[in-house]
Amino acid sequence: MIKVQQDDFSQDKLMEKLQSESGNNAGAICTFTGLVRETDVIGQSKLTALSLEHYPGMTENALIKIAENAKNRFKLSAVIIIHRVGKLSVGDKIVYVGTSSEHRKLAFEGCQFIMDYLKNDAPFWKKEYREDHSESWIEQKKSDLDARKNW
Amino acid sequence: MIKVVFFARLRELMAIEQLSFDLAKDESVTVENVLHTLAAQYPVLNDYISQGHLIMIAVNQQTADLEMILNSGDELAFFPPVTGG
Repeated sequence: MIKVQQDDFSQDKLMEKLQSESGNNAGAICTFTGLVRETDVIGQSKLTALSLEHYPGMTENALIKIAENAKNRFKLSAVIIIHRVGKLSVGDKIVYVGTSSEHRKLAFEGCQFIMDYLKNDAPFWKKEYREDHSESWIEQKKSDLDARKNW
Repeated sequence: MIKVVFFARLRELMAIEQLSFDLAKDESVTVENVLHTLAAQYPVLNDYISQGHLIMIAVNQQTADLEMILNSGDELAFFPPVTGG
């Protein structure tokens, strides 16, 4: 299941969905949740909000492609990716990735693979709003580019 | 006619979400041609390029490059490197 949405999501409900899609031979489920931190990327100011923009159509297709690649490469039984857009507050959930497989190694690796590729290939853009009323778009990090190269 | 769309910081700088780019009959243009023409029309875009900021390209929602040839009815998107997750 791949979704881009403004609404919040329930990790409990997504876990149920993962289990129901995984079949009885999946012995491992791995999940990742990304949250809005209270400090900006530079680490100097406190955020009042984080907004996310996407390219409707292209973004969903990019996520589907990443999920399919992960499913094939890591023999995953099921993949769920939920990514929020719109204006979010500190502590809000931004993204959820869930993977399942027969054994834990592939579930762990598949989950990280999806996040590393999502950070580089999925058309989303983040903007920070700070307590001092300044705002700016986050820039792509070299560490994210490097992480994808590991795969 | 080509639909050109902008996202994120580029959209803000241009103060435009989308515009129409006319093609002459039987005219063949590349993404680079369009970008060059738009940079001449929009100084903020020219400055953005001159400052060395990366512009990512998609044609019909598929990743593309400057050399890609465009046809009437195509959707061309320009945006900064992505920062999701």
